[in-house]
Amino acid sequence: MGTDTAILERAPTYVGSKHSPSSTGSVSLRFGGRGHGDSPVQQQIDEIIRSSLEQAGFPQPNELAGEGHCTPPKTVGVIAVAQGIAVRSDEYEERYGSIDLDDFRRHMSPELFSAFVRHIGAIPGHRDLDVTQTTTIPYE
Amino acid sequence: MVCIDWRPGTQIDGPVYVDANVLVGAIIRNHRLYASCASVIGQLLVTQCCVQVSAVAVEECLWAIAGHCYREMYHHKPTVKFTKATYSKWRDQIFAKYSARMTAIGSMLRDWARAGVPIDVIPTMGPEWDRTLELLPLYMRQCRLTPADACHLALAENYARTFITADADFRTAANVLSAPSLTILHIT
Repeated sequence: MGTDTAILERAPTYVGSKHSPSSTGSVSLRFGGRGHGDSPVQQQIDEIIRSSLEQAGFPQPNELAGEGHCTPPKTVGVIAVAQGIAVRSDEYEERYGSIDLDDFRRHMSPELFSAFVRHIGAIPGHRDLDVTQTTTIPYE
Repeated sequence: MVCIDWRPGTQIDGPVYVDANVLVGAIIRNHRLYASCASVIGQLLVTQCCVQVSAVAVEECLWAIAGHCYREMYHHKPTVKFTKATYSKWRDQIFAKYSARMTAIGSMLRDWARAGVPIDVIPTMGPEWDRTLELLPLYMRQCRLTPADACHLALAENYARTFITADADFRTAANVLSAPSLTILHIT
């Protein structure tokens, strides 16, 4: 691939998150060119990563699509919660911020932990939601 | 029958019958009981308690998620009623936009089972079911419960040792009834 190489590296900490990488498995994705200008190969790789992340629900900022100039590395706020499960940082706070995930991780097998975190809080709700009322099937 | 409030660390004796409001409460986030519902589910998975799930509970979960999707789609408040007529009218639109959500409960229960969580689907034929049928009208009348809630309570009493629910109506029922083998764990 020559000097133009997409970079995928572990960030030391995730900016804005109170969790350390060791406790949350946080990762950030950085991709950009090392040389002057992106090669067609790197642009293809960037586009594949961008479209994959977008399809997975992680919108990407437009400035990541460089136009022939040297693209500085950008950080995408994605946190790996368990093997194969990554969420945006805002979603992470909503779904797992109030739960002692570290304790559950310690006491569950990796497979069970994945099955747990994959589903809890998967659907965005509302603070006024009454779960008892909403599960009551009306007779009319 | 005793009713106690759940707190982190509260001991849970299995088998455990889980009410629909707790399952939905753990899947939908941002509401007042989300952290408690998700944490109690996590505790069940850690302790490998046998989880009892009924068809009534699954039906109520599907209903709740459909209603939640409808309200989100049309920017209604959570208090807006979701009737059977509303469901009939908007069902296709709900599934067109939120089909993945409608599979969430089934997917969650399947993933738990694959990860080794003991899950029983109830009722099964046998003396427990006979006793459940006998108790249903009694609970409807004595505890002033809806048929569905009477069904939850009677199933819990005959198939489980603990009934986890967010519904305060069962706290009232616990004061009326004297079934010593069942503990109602109330998520507040």
